[in-house]
Amino acid sequence: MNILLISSYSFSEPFHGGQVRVSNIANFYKKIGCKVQSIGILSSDDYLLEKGFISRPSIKELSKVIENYSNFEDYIVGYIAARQKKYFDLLFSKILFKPDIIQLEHPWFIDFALKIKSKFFNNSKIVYSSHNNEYHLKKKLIDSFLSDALRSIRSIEIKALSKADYVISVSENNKKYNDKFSTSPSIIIQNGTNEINFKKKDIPKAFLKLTGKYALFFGSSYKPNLDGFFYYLTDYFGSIPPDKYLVIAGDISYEILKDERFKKLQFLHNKTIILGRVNRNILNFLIKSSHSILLPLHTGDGTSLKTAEAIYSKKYIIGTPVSLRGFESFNKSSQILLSRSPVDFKKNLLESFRLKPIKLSEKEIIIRNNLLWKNCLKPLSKKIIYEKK
Amino acid sequence: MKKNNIIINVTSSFNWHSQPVGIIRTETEIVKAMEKFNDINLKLCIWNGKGFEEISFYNYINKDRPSFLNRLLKKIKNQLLFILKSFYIFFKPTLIFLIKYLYKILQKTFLNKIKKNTLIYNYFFNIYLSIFNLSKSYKFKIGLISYSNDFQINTNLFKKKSSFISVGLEWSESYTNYFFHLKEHGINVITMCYDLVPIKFPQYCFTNFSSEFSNFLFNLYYGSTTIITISNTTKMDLKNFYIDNGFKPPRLQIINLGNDLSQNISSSNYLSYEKEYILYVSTIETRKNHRLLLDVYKYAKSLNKKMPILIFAGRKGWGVDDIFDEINKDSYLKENIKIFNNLTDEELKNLYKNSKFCLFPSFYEGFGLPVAEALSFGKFTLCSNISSLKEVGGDMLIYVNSIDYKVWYSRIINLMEDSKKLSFIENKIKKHFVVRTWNHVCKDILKLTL
Repeated sequence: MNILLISSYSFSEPFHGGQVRVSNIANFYKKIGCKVQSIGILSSDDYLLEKGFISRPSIKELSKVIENYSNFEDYIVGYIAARQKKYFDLLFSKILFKPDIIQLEHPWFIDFALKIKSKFFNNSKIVYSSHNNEYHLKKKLIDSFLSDALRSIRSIEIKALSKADYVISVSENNKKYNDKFSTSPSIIIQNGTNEINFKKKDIPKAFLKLTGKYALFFGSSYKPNLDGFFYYLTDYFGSIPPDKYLVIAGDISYEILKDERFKKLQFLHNKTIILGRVNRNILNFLIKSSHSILLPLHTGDGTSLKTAEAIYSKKYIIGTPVSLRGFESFNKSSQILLSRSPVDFKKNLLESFRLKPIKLSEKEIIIRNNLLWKNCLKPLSKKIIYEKK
Repeated sequence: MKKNNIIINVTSSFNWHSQPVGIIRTETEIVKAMEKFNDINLKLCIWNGKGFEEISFYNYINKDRPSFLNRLLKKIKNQLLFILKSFYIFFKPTLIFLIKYLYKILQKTFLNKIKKNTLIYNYFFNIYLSIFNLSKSYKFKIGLISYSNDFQINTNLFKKKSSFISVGLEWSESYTNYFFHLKEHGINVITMCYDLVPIKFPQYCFTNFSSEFSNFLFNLYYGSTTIITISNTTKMDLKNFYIDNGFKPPRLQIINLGNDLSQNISSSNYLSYEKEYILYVSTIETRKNHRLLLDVYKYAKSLNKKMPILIFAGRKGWGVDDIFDEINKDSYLKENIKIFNNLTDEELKNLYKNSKFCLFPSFYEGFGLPVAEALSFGKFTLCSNISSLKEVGGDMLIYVNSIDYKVWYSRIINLMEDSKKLSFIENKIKKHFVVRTWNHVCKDILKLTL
């Protein structure tokens, strides 16, 4: 079976949650014997220009569609893929086979998909997959009043949901929302995690000294990560004991350091180790060697990949109702320190350092194994591949 | 019987070379009073930048005053720093805009292309940070792992089970980071919190000072066995600060400060002010609300009412240039309001002793030491209506809203004209007020060391 994945980001070296999710979906399809090709127009210069992808259009081209294009790049690349001949032809030329399934990650390329289906691939089925409710997410991300652009996001999302032959949701809540606009079969693919392994020989010695002495915050430069960090570690923050550290890794590091608010958290300055982007081996080491993991999300939709990874890591989690959405069944576990306010968050972080490393029962470990991607993605083969055949 | 080992950190008062402020006086008085206790083994120490080193009591009392040349150089240095800082503050927005703009261009044209190479990317990012963050307290470098616990304990000085007392001006001192290590080493660390002005009233402080101060409070939390507060007001403020930031309240102990300035007063009249005057002893800064008293005198001027001379006794603080300007420019104010700076203890005592009564219109105080000192001279103080001052003055004093200058005016006139009433209050003070000596303060502190 031929599967064509269309997205606004490449994912061979994933660094944010969306990329990790698509990468795992693609690998899963490959593992069960499907032929998979990925194409798309990149919505940011941060993504690697891989085979099948077209580099981000110029600012001039972006701003022709929406003048204040920032935060709407993904919508715009989908828009021009379907409407501008140059981009349509270029993207279409990247397709190497006749797809049985055209799977969209996010709704951006729905018009392109409908166009190629009606013109060239009548028998193909369209699968719409998204780990967010895009309209609500954009609404929260955008400070200024951009009602026209937001209306476009809403209508393209509804279009994708109503025209797709299958819908993949990320959580029960997400499915409930999607089902309002879709009558097609719908499945839930919960966000999962890969096994967290690392090669000790590739870990710098300085890192090894940290083992067990730190809380870890890692993430991409995704705006809700930054907002959540400063929302929960607000005003005066002192919840890291003197012999402990806060380690920050991933692209969020650059955003935190550039932010004026970080200067005000003076107590953190001696207690924080900011690593920037690290490779997967080091990140896995950091997760495995941490005492606790911070998930200070305050806004955002869908479920977080980091949450699945953190729960699977068997480390204490200082989480929030938003970051633990979709994983509520774990809320009563001793692993989770659920924080409903910044004060709670600070209190729980401090408390976590007083606790001994967590020990889970056999049963609890088995439940956590269900979070592995290989288990989360099983419904894909049962529902989509089987039914299509 | 084995003597109790007490180590007092005198870094603040040892390095202080101008007129002492309240905290410096507190540190000095505690050392002087502690020295008289025979049943303790007292040591003094100062922070030398790397660790605490012992100094003798003799060296502490007879510390060298910096030479005239050193003082002059320091003044020039401070002036230059001030000019540079003003220059930086003025051009900061433009500078930041330019740096950000250049970085954006660099990011688009070059950095995104090398993003895969984290080492090179981080290198450029660190250059950006070092230019962008000109503040010296901001020393981040991405990808750099450094450990803050490289503190070596001076075991000759810090024997286990000793008590370490630190009550100085230390919110900007790096050594409060290390109190935790002393505590871990088995030292009984006793610290002091005077008030929470930078947290409760950040508008009265330098920008970002509240952040620096909160850092100090967190260091006290982790590093103290007991934190002394100088009043119940400060205790409650501190307790609430910790609770609001997710902490369980630490061990807090109220110990009121000494107020025995009236003891051993010299017979010589150092500073005699012949006219009848009322007195406000305090550093001159916005929080202390000298502005209200200027308004009282301007109001009296508009009513053609004769007022007593008002003396402001205290050093000039931060952000009060307008008050000085106004006094200098207005002949009525200049004639009726006198500012005395750099007073010796003896001069201050005489000012208290000969005043008609005192005023204290401050917006917020941890304790209000001048009110207690005035009481020790049997003097009445008209106070602002804040809880810490009520702790000091109880029902011996009168408390007035710190905003309404007309009420202050009528109270002052009333006290000036009704000498019977003033005498009645003064008798009440003499009867009820108990002078608290620094010896009492030290006894209370020593209870925490057992």
